[in-house]
Amino acid sequence: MKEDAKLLALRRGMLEPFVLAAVEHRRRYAVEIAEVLAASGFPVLEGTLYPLLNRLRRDGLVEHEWQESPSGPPRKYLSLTPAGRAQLAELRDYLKILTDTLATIGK
Amino acid sequence: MTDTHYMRLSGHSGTFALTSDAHQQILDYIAASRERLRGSLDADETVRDLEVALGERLSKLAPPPGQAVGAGQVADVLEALGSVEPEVMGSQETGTAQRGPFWCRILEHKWFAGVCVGIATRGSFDLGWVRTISIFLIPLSGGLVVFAYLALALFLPVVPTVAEYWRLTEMPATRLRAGQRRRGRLRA
Repeated sequence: MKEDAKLLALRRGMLEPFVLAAVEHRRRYAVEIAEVLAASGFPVLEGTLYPLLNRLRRDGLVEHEWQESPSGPPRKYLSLTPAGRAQLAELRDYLKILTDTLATIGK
Repeated sequence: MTDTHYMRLSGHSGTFALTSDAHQQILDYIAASRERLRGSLDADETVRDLEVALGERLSKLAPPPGQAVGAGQVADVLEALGSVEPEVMGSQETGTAQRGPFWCRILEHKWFAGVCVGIATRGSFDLGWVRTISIFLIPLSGGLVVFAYLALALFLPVVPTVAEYWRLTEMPATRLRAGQRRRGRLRA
């Protein structure tokens, strides 16, 4: 139980990098992003996703394009901006450093 | 049925037929979302997104014509959608801009409401001195300081720890580099 809480805290911090990575290669809308994350064993609720996506857009890391949906209102398809790409690369590098440190520290 | 409500949701052209309980549940959900997003610059946008998503899920339920969606079904839909999780305070309010120092009360090390800890942290004063001066001011000001304290305790935002305060005021990368340069010069 305690272990779970620790892992949960780690996972929470990974949400932003995962969301950025989810729209790295193709445009996706929120529900698809949630599906991609869930498929990778990282389920996230839309209630969590929308505030994050809007903040990423405000920070200039993602941008959206409206596209008609076969059912219901048009959808916001998100993609990375150059700043978002740079941020994702930076996060990946940093995570690699952390992983390496964790593996080698104290040796 | 007399108590069917026809509800409109952002982005959706049609209306949704809901029982009175279900209708109220959705109103509560949206009101709670607004409340939780208070202070967020993206609150309107996020509530809009939620309404669109809610509508999409409701239309998938496709109740038989003339029949309203009930409270049970709506409860399931709202649970699947999840309650709105506001972004961490600070990053959401200022975006990439620096938040900078701000007045708050800090619960760590507090005696009463943490107002003195907040003042000491914000102004880089010694906490003991802030408290000593405040206590001396109580008789000198005829108790006015007590009212001021209560007012501050009521209105200042709460930050749990001093470390959290510094995290919230955290500088963006460019400022950080400038800071490091300054420190470098001092050492040199």
